[in-house]
Amino acid sequence: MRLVDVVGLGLSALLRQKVRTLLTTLGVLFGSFVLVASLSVRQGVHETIAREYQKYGELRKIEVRPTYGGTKEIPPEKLEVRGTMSEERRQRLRQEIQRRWKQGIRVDPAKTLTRERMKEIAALDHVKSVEPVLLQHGRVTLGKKSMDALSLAAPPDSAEFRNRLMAGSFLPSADSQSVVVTEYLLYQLGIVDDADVERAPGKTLELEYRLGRPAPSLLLTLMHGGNAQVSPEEEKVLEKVLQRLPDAFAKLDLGAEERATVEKLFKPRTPTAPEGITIREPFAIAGVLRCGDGGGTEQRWGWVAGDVDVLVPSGTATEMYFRSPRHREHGFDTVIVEVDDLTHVKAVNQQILAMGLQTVSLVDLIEREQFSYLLIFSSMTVVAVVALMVAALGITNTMLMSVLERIREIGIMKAVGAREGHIQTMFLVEGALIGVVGGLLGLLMGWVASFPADAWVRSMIEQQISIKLEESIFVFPPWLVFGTPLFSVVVTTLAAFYPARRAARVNPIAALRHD
Amino acid sequence: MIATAPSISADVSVQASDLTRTYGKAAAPIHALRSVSFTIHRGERVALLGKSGSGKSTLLNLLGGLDRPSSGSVHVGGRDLARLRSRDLARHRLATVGMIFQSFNLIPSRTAAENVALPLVFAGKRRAERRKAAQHALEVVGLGQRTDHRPTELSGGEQQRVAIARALVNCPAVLLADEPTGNLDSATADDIVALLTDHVRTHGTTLVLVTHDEDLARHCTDRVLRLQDGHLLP
Repeated sequence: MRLVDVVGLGLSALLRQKVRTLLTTLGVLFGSFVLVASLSVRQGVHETIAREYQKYGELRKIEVRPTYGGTKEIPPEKLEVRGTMSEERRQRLRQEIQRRWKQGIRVDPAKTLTRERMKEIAALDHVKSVEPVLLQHGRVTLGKKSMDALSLAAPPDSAEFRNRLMAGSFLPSADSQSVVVTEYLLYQLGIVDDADVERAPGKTLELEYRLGRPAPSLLLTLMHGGNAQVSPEEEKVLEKVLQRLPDAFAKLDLGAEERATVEKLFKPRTPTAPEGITIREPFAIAGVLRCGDGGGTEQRWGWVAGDVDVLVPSGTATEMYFRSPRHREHGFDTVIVEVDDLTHVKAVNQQILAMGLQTVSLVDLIEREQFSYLLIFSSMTVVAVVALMVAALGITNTMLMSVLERIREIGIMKAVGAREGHIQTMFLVEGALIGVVGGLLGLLMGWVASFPADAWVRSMIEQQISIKLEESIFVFPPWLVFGTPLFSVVVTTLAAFYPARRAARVNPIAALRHD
Repeated sequence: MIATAPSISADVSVQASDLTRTYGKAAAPIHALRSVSFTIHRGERVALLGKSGSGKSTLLNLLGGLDRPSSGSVHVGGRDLARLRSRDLARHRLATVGMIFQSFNLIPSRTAAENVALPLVFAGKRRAERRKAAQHALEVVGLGQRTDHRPTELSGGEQQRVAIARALVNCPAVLLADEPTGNLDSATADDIVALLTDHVRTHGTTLVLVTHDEDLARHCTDRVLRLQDGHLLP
């Protein structure tokens, strides 16, 4: 029997019962429509989320932090709980003492972000760059004027700052002895007129950092409850006062007990505290930045950009930072690892985690977000599949009826030489045809309906969270376009299987006697 | 699978030995055929005569490969039908025998030509080939002008002619007719019988005709096999 005849016989049988065929096909149509819609929106939302994050290029970045972990154990005498009490309560108190002790102690990083570890990370496959997030308070001196300023280490290819360049050029290289300053800093330092700002690049300013030791002006900040602007001369006086403070207690009018208390309080906590160092170096101004518009918050470190006064090349900044022995030992607080391609982010993240470091990656966040959407739309898909199954049951039912109605015809076909396989195939083809037509129409309907649905969702999103979506939240990838009708065909063909078997096994003699 | 009978000579068309067909449960069996043995030669015209319930239709269905014997063997065209697989039995119905029924058994939704061409569909013949063969078969039975009529638009005699055309379209070696004139008036019946006998005579086809009409049996056939309660009368 030829395929074209099998299909022809199935089709003519379906067309003989137009209303019944229409109704069963409608069932399949609606089932596959819901299936298409749910899968399409699921995929669309998945892609939209990824696209929205991708816009900022932040997806390829992994934030790496050192791991803090107390390796110190609590001294056993501190764990002792005295008094008459139940053993449970003693145990509870002991646990609480231990917990609080751990909170109270200063823990050094167990895994640090030292220069060596950064090199290790940079050596990983697919890692494009490793840049520290190095935000430092320092002091800028230009000519006779001087002020406190916030500096940020920036790679020479930093696009977000390059866009704000208004005079001169950007940082020439990561290791250059040059800086980029904001127009605000220049204004504060007395460079006011436009012409002077234009001439600022090429001038030399002096940057001063105190590493490993808090500035004495911090004391004033604490006392006054606000930022203290202190000139270098004033700072020197403050430092002198602080150094002599313990001796000054002797001259105060205090009782013996009070004196003892003060001396105890001002005794250095860590006698071996490393001596802080001060770095003071000249830098050439490479360029001037326009003040930010306060925006940029969509970037993870964007909020920083608004307050930064000076950009220092990342290599130079790193080198200066590590001049402090304490910094060399403890490394950076945060570094940003950029991965060459989105597909490698997870693998690189795993490798960094395996080094014992902490990471934060937007990929994790997006995966969690996508996971929750996946759950919602998957349940919709399950409903759609159930709908399709119900439609399939309808097909089984109507086809069983159809076998009974056509039992004589089946008998005749067998009498003139049809094999069981022929009859079975005929009925399977009928089921498959319903699946093809219902599946394709469901797909078409889903595609047509996606336009108004997308417009509606889009307007809602724009009104409520003011995000302008560039592409439809319904997508129709090839697997969906081919997969859904195929799935519907498989389901309806399976539904036709039992009736087809019944038809194939019809006893021709009984069938021919049938009226 | 070699036939159990020692050898069947080339001019034997049908050979039944100890053919038995029992229906129903083992506890209360209905014996439709009891140990029937006979031989029909090639080109022979044989009538199966008997009252209703004598087992003649059962015997015809066994020869036609619509049913299988409970025991014994039945060779048609050299093959033991009792031992054929289901698909080979279908092949037997398709190619070796042509069956004609009292109630015509045409498919009402299909035209005369489509009904006639139906066996060719299962034979895997192309559409054009089927159309040509059906047209020819219908012309042979005198219905060349009515190919596109549906059975409901045809008279009883015409319907039976369509059925005969369908039975002949594959040029079978054996023609099995089950009361072909039972539903027809006598004038039409004579035409149908004449058509059948003419055909088998000119083509050398073996004819097995089931009837309860004594005259018909004697006039149209070479030999009469009488059945009673499942037994073949001597």
